[in-house]
Amino acid sequence: MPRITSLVLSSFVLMMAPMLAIALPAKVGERAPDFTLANAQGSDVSLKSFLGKTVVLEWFNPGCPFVKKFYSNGDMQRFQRESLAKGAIWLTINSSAEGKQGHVKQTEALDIINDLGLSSTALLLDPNGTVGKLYGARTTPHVFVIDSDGRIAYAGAIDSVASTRSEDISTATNYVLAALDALRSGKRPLPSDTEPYGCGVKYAN
Amino acid sequence: MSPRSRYLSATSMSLRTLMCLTLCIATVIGCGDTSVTKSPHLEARLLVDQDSVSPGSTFSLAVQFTLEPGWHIYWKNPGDSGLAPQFTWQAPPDVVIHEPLWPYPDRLTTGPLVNYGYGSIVIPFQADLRAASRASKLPINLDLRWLVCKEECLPGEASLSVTLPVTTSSGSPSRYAHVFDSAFNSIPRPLDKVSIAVEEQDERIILAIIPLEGRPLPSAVTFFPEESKIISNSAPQISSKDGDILKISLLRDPGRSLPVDRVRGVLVSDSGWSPSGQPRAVLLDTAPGEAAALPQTPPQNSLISLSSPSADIGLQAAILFAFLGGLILNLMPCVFPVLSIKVLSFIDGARADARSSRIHGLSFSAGIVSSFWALALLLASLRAGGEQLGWGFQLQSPLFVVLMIFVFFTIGVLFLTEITVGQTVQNLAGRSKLPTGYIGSFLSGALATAVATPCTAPFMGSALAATISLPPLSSLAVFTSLGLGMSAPYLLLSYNPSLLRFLPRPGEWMVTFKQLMAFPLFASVIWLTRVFARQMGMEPPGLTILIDVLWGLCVITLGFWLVLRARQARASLRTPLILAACITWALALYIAIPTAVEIEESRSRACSSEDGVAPFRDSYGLLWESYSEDRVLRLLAQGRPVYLDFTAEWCITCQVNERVVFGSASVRERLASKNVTLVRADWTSKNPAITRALQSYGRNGVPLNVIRVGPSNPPIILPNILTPGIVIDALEKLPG
Repeated sequence: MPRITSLVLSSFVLMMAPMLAIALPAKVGERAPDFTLANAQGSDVSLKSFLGKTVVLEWFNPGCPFVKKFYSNGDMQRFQRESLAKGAIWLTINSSAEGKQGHVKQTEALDIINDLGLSSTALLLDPNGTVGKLYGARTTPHVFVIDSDGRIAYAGAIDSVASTRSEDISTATNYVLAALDALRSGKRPLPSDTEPYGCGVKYAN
Repeated sequence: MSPRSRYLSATSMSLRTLMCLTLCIATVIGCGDTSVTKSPHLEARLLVDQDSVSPGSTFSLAVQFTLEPGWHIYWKNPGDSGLAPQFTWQAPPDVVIHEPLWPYPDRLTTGPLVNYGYGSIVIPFQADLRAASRASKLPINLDLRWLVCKEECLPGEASLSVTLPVTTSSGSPSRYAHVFDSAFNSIPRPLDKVSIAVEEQDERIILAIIPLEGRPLPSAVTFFPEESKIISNSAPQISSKDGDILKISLLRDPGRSLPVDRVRGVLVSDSGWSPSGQPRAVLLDTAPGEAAALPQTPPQNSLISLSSPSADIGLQAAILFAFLGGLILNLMPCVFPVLSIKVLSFIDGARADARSSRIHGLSFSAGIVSSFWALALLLASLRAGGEQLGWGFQLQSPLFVVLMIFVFFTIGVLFLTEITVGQTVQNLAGRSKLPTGYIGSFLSGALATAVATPCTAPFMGSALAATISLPPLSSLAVFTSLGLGMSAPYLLLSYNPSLLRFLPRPGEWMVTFKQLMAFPLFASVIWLTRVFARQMGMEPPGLTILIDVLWGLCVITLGFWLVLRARQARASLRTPLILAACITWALALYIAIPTAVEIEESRSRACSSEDGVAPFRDSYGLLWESYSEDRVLRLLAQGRPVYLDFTAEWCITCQVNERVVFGSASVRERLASKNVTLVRADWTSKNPAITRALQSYGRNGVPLNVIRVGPSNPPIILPNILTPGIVIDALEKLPG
């Protein structure tokens, strides 16, 4: 029916489209985009400086029930310690915007680490959501594993059971630890790309 | 289930029994009928559609969620985040409870994320009681888990139960039966009498729904994917009608590397899928084989073949919309001046002679319509020549995108400069030796269409493509209608010249308006450039920087244009215009500075692997240059001391050296006071120039730290493991 409507509409879309610029997030197999963020101590940490090591990026929001699922019984802390023991770097990234749930001020960051017993290499603060959007991080948790060549080897959920219940952790397949093991034995992780589950990352509107 | 949660659910059960008892007092129906849980922001109630069931019959269960305004729960595919409610049933083995019948969801947007979910909703389930059942009552228990979110999310769980009496005769509707009626209206229906084709084109997935047996289809629909990782949830969807074919263009999930072999989900139309407006949602599944089972299926997976079915039903509507489209063309900035020149003069001049005015009007309209016929002919010959065009897909051709960039930019520049279309028309149509009679009016009409083309070209391009699938005669009819639409106002004026006074008088405002229209065009140019850059494989951050720079240029131009307008404007308008220009430039700076920062960062990334002298700052704020033999020789020739740091990302000693040495404030002070130029030779990736340089110092690897001053002095080679003291001592020995 409305050819002309589509005509007018398409021209309109053509005019308006610049406003709808869509960020294209990082893909599995592609180079992990570099970034620099402040850690809890206030000094800058760059992804680039870890080239040659396997790096885990974990999106984090202390107020999110999916994140609490993993932290309340020390499971995530255990994953972090195990990964570090295997020679990996684990960066916990908080992209909650100011005024949103889970936003961590620079001054509170050390307290969060102490309260939770966070055992990752660093807690990085991304209040503008720049790095979150660069990676297309959608949920907390949302995990990326970067291989020693700086390429994304795994992206997606932390494990196979989408729930908020800590009881499910023991029965789930942990994709991150599996990916680290695969990379250590020179294989590509399988699965390498899963659908993340969790709360939406609390970006500024 | 862990013992702890068993305990918890046991206590909540007894709590619920208590609640039920309280309810019993208030209701006559009794507790067997309902069970409810009240949680923060959410109330859930388990409902049955009948008071009792008989063996061998089917009944319905449902969970009614009542949410506080602003809170939502999720669809089976929650979208970018969230979690669908989970239902775990415990019922006697005689009862079979089927999968949830998910009502169609809403699209919920939070910042850059999109979710699929609901506010208050009823989710029904079909259930069967076996004919052989001997039970006298059916205790049915539901373990329900949910995630309820607004900005924040709260998980919850509850155990809900009902007990349903079994009777020999079929049960009467329960008091909740009406809830089920409306709930079933929101369940997507199978989509019948269509054939479905899916095609992947670069970043997009195109779904085409071809009606069979004259089934009407809506034109605006929203797609909800049943599975994740197929489409980008947040990208805008474009749905359109091409004849009677409904096309939906979706952005592929950018994280997806595999081809899409099956698309499943729900299509929702606000206007409904039938003339009655119901159903609003249908199920879509492009499973291979399914469409093939339908009779008279056109060939699958080829969009070109999709365009061929005849469009008889759509034709009348197409002609109507073409007329309206023609009318709209008159509002385009280049066409309005046409109205004011030749046409108005002949209408105005012929006020006294009504008959001559009408014939002038008719001739002028004939001129317009003939020009559209010429376009239709051009289209037909293009098609005969084998051009394969389709609506919306032009943008996938880089050549087309580049042409559009040029066209849009040219029009923009024409708008901005003094070469006004109005003057051109005046020169051509007014002063040229056109016959002055009715033939003159005819030619003016043709000329007006031609001259207005710069404005209408982007629209006409789409029109050409939009009619491409029609048979030649139909497309001629559509183009005639377009021409009639465009000439309608002139005809109306020539028949009724007194209407002229309702038109705004042409004047300075038209020039300003036309010039202002250049900027949306420039915006389109920037967008098209982005599309082109993506097609050429350009990635962020380079892409982002490029686009930001273009935005900066556009904004700077806007500022200068405002200044120009200010110089010509009334005195009272000058200050606000200048102020506006300043604001625009400030905006340009606002865009440019983060861009500049990004360029710095992206360049320092690039430096690690490439030659070049681009300076960059390290994390201690020191300015470094990347190694280049020429640059070092030039610095030495200038007599400047040079500190050469041969390093690599993978060299731990190098990293430690750098941290210890350049992290020391006293080293940094000495470097500054001696005016030392820092040069970093990054050997992380293979670099022949750096390998040669290392050899020249008798080394074949890093770390190597060298201080040099003057071209003839011997280089000071520092030890492999450095302390601030070693470096300070070496710097102190430097002359000057």
